[in-house]
Amino acid sequence: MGSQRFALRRAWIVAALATLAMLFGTLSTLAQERPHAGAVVTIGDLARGISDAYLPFLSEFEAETGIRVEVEQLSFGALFDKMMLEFAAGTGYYDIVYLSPGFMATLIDAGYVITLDEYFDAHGLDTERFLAAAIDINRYGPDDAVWAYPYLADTSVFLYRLDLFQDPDERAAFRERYGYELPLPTIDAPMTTDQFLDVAEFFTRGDMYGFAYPQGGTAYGNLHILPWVWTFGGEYYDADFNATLDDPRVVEAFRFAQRLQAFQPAGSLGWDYGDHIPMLCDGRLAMTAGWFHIGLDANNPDVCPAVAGAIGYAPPPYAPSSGLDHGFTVLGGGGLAVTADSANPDAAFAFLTWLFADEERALAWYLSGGAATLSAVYDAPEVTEAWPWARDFFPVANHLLATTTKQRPTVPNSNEIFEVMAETWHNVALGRLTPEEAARSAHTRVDALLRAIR
Amino acid sequence: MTSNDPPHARAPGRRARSVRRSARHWRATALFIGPTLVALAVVAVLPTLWAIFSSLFEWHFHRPHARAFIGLGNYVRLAGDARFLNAAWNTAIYTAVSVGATMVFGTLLALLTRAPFPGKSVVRALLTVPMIMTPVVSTLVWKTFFFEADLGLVNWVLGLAGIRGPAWVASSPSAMATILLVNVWFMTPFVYLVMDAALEGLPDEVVDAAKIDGAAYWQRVRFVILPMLRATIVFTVIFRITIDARMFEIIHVMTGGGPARDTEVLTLWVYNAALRNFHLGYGNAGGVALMVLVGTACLAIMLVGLRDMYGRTGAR
Repeated sequence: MGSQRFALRRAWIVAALATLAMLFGTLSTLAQERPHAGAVVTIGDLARGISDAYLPFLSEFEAETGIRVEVEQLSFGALFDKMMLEFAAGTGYYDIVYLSPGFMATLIDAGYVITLDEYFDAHGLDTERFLAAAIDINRYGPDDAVWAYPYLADTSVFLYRLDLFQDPDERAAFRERYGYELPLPTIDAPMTTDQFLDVAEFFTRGDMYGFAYPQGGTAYGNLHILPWVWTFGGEYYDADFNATLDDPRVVEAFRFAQRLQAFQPAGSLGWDYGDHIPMLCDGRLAMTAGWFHIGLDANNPDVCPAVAGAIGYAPPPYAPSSGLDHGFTVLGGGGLAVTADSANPDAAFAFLTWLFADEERALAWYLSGGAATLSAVYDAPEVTEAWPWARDFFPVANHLLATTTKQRPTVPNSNEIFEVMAETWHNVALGRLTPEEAARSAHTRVDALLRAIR
Repeated sequence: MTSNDPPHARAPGRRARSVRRSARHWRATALFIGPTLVALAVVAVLPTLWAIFSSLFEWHFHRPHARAFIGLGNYVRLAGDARFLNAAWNTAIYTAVSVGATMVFGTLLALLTRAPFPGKSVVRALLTVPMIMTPVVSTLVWKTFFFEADLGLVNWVLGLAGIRGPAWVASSPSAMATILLVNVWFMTPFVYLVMDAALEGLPDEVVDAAKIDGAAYWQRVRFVILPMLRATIVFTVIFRITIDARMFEIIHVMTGGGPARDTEVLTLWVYNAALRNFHLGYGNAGGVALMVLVGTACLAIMLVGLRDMYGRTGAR
């Protein structure tokens, strides 16, 4: 009787131990598969379509990894102000922040974000799979380290009214007035800056304008003048951080922009992001330029029914005097950077890789309003099936990213330099400064700012 | 102690009761006022002191731990900073015109609606509509719906008359005029409400007496009503100055300080210096300078505006 009871007890103990071992094994496996389960990753991102588009993926990611991702979507200014306050206070509130080229140097210089090179190496992530521009926009420093995950690679695509440019009457009228054929810009044969001015002048009539681009405030004032400075062969400063603006090429850029201004809506000097879209969709602009999504939307019948199907895509005009066969556009977009104060940097990187490096998810994100940073997404047939007009868009977009885009001047006090350039351009546009005076004035002021970092 | 005791013998007991009553009174006062004082210290006094303290340092927002004491260095730099001086000038113009215009329009509206008429309450409610609207939203409506150079209503109407309107917010001096117009539209109802309430409180018999004496309407306004409203006017002007000199949202949304800094006021200057260009100490020096300028202006107006009145009564 006693030995039976003892055997029974022993069996119970063995069974309990076995159950415990199984439970431990299961938990251990789960922990290995979900090493960051329970972590919360907070992202500070811009409130716009591409961040809206990844929100539906968050629950799937949490179910797979146990990591909860919370996203704060704010306007550009509000996000910047808040992230700076959090960084300065060292709260570690954000694990991931949107890193714009406009303020990346400041954040990196202050040590607020970490380089992702080591993470890429540790995870064996092939950065070649991404568009080169999407990686390049996140590079900074003497060793060209990558500071943010590829998230958005963008630039200004030039848009023109194909229907007007191909209209026989318009072509005849142009030939008669200017003595040469109305140019149809292509990747292989972009317009020259002189042709661009002629075309802009030709189409400026009645309610219609030859060209329009936002130029308001510091951001767009600078984004308007910077590519023209590059196109004419100028730069803001040299490799030693000496200003190079008191230069005939910069004078030429100011003069070109000043002449072009006569064919733009007067209000464009106060326009901000996207303020030219209503006139573009109204069919009142013969030519304009805009970020990639604006280019795609212009031919979308649901967005711009009046001009959809009539918009052509082109590279920027080039200035033969520069000795180059192409013009320039500003590399835009940005990346998602992991913050130095983050309590969960590994979980943060895991999320970024899970969503943006997986071709299937990256494609789904793009099709639902996201951006394309993986080369495979641009080549996916699903994209051209969804947006047939993208067939004309992507070759130009790829050409721009590969050939004409340049990273804007990136130094810790970039914003102050951009303020000077925007203000100088506005003074030229308002007729208060001649191009020569503008170049001299900007040179002196920018050089004084650069002295701080030389 | 009896009632026949001399007064000095009764005094200690009364004094003790008086002291106890006084202590209870002060405890109750402290209980009621204390939380407000603490809140005020936290949200107003401490940040002000911190702003003054930080303005004495070379202090950059993106390197908060590396600061250097420079005394009044930032203030000396302000005196020679053309952009700061331009912003100070713009602030002065903006505040003077806006306060003047809102005071005139608000007072006129209050005078016009003083006499009873059918639907007065409806008119009064309609006149206060701008004040209850969100500044940013209403400014955006003004900017895009009314003042957009090519798509806006104002230039469309001008176009019907064969006039090509300017790029209102993208050229000068129309940009400053436009933000002033929006601010006047936005703030006039406040002045109207204050002046309307003040007019309601005026003794009718004084105005009626002036009428019987043969004073015309504008004579009654000029020599009877406005002098009686003097204290209200002075304090409304001071209040309006403190609001307009600190105006940010309307200008930020409407012009962002452009074109070419033509509408950059001191609040925008401080914002750009401290939060966009990270010169925290320098930006705060600009903020302190603004506070001193506004405080000085308000004090001067109060002294000049109320001097005669207080001098006459001598009691207040």
